[in-house]
Amino acid sequence: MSTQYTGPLQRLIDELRKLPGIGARSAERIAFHILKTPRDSALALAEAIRATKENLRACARCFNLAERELCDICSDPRRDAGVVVVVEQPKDLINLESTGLVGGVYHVLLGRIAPLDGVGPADLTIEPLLKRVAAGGIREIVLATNPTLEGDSTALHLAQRLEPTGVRLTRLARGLAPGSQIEYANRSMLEEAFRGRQSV
Amino acid sequence: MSLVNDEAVVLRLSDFSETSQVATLLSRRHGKLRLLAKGARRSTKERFVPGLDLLEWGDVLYRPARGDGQLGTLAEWKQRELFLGLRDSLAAAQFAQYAAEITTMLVAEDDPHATLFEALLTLLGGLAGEDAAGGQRDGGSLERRQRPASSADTPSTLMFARRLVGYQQTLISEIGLMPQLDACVACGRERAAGRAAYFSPKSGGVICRSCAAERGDRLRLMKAPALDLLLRTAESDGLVDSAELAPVDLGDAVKLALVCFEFLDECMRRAAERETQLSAACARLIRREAPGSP
Repeated sequence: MSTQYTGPLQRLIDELRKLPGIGARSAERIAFHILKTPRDSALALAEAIRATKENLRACARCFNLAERELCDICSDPRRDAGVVVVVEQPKDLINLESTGLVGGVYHVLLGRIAPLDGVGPADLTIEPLLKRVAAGGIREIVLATNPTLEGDSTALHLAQRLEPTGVRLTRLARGLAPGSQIEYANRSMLEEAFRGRQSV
Repeated sequence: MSLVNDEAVVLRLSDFSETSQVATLLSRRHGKLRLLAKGARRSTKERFVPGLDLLEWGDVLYRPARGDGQLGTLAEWKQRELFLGLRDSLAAAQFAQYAAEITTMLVAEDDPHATLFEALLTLLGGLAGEDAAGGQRDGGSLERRQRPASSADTPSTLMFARRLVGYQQTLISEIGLMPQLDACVACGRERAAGRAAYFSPKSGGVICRSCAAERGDRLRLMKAPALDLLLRTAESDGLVDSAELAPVDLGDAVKLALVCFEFLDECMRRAAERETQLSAACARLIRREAPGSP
């Protein structure tokens, strides 16, 4: 039987245990760390959680996380609004942003078509994307969904819906990852890499 | 417990934690397996992990579960084939996922079905536009490719649907639930080829007109072409030459494929006593192949 701590501490441990990757031991360790932390630091953590839940919302245009109606990227006039990169999740957007190569804007689908999990096109932000395209001014849409069966099917579905608009549709390249070794690459990675080979 | 090796197809993936997944596999020699794939979603500086993907075929090394309801552990996975062609057609992807869904739903764990495993590989290869043994593919997967049709003027979705019906039939036969279609389940009288018959889902087969009148079962009228086709497919383990099965008229071909698909789908849902996520979407895709449909 597990040890029961006094009221608020046990509540904190129980809440921490609900977090991904946090087991009973880790929850206990974090809770005791918070207990020992100066009051201001501990309350700053609580305030950060509260502010995240209360102040963040989906950007009205791209569905990225935003503090105002539009996210920082959509409201940045230096961004090229003619190029839209479509991603599954805000986390994918952050990763792409970290490359510093995307000068355009984004559209977050908030998922991918996953029929086995009961997620269909209507559960994603596909209609708002079509409306964005219909409003004009978009030259290229980069389909940056994950290269999984579900991600690729989502890209295929989007390509079919967007084809009549005449906007240029592109897909992220794929194949070998830098730092990986051909010896350990799987067959599909090598196939994709070979098909996508480039002149040097 | 010692490690076991086999080859398998990934039927289902669900997130277990931030980094791990539960993979449901159909293996050739050990049937359906549920394995915990630790770290399957995480790449590290030292190790790049491409991750498992749905309907991937590969060699698996695993530690079996210790007891009923427990998960085994995936120790190693080496991809053989990803069936990349499935990503070039929505119909191919949907049909393949439907096949994964019904297989997961109906096959029990640790109950080997080598024939079914082979049929699944054949189906996936066929839907991906290649032979199951990993035959040559045409190039350019990033651009949408024109899929090679097996019959010059038959739409690929219809060809896919026929393959799917063949797989449904193999599955239902393998688990021992194939309905009796050649004779009345009540009196045993043989159904003459070319004759329509009533089908009783409750009794698990066709039922002649006189027996039908005496029973209170909910009956479904099955027309002769669908019954004959299902019988011929059953006799040949689901691998009938598709050209032989194709009526001259495209509309009739679509109707036939749809009736067979829906019939077998209903049998399976009844056997599993649950609904499927993809039945309606697959039926819609087949129906769309009929001439004049939007």
